[in-house]
Amino acid sequence: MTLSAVIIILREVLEAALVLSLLVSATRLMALSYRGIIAGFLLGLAGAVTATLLMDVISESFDGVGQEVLNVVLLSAIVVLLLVYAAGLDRRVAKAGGLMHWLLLMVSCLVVAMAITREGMEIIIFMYGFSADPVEMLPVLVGGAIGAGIGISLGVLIYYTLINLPDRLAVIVPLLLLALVASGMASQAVVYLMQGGLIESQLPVWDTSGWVAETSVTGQLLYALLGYEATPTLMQLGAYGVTLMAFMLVIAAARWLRVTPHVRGV
Amino acid sequence: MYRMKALPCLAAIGIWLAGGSLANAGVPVYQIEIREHLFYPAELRVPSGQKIKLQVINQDGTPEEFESFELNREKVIMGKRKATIFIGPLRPGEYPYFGEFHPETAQGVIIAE
Repeated sequence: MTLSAVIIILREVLEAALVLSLLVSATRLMALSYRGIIAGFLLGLAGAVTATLLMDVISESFDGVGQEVLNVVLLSAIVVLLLVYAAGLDRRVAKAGGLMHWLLLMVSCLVVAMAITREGMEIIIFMYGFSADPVEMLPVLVGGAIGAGIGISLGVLIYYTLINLPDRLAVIVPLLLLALVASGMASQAVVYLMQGGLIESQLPVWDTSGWVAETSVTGQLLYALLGYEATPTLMQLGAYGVTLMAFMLVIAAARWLRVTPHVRGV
Repeated sequence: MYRMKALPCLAAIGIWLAGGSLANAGVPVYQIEIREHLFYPAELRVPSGQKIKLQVINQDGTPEEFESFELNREKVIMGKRKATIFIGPLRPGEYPYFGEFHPETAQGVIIAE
């Protein structure tokens, strides 16, 4: 039981820790205020508890696919907000203050809140299932603590790697990682639409489970970072590709607009 | 101005959701039950190449998560509740699934043929 608790908590914590470490390092590198992320974290905890309490109602809504609808809404909102974040992220924003700084804080607050809600509610539901049985509860708590410890450590490791990057990579690497995470989320949203019967599902395009199994540690890490799936459908790949392209365009356009005002004669 | 745009938008989403449930009206339904952290039937045979509606009924008082890497599906089912999960079209083959909250016992396989 301990091992399965380690794995399940690690999986949930890893996803949230990854998003959090990327946003915290970007906040530090851009010298933005941490208030947005702190507020988002607290809001996310409240959101996770609320969603858990309402889980019966959520599950029964929309003809029994309310969970899928909720996940699609949260995932798409995170993707769109991260796109805004990628467009607005700039060192001068923090110095100038004003509307752009406030917007970035709001965006990071909402993204963190929604990511924590999504992963937190599953942890609470899992833990709640064992709360009635004290004999089972202890190994679950121990396993959960180990899983959370590994997940948080990985997040901290990513954070310190990112803030110690050479200056010319310091902005672009977190942005590219955010783009990959967002693309994985877009692909995941498509899966939820299919799972809820809201769009027609398709046969998978390929099967790479022989190379990297989704159950393996590598598979899990790749899932959190790249949205890796061994058997994706064409629509998932489409959502992934379109999102990644949108991020590349936005990042490139924003950099061009900022870096070259004198070249463009503005 | 924004209010005028929000209304048709909501209506469109409503029609899509309603249309989704209508389109799924003729989809064959298969049931799986969870009792004492075990799946019944542990081996479910379904036709390949078509959409299938799985109804997972949790008879236990504790929550479970239906999870399958092969099917790319994952859904929490609260205690004493049931969940709808659409799967397929599937290629013929075996698709293992498990209860993520009790993976030692809650194991099953869907066989598409």
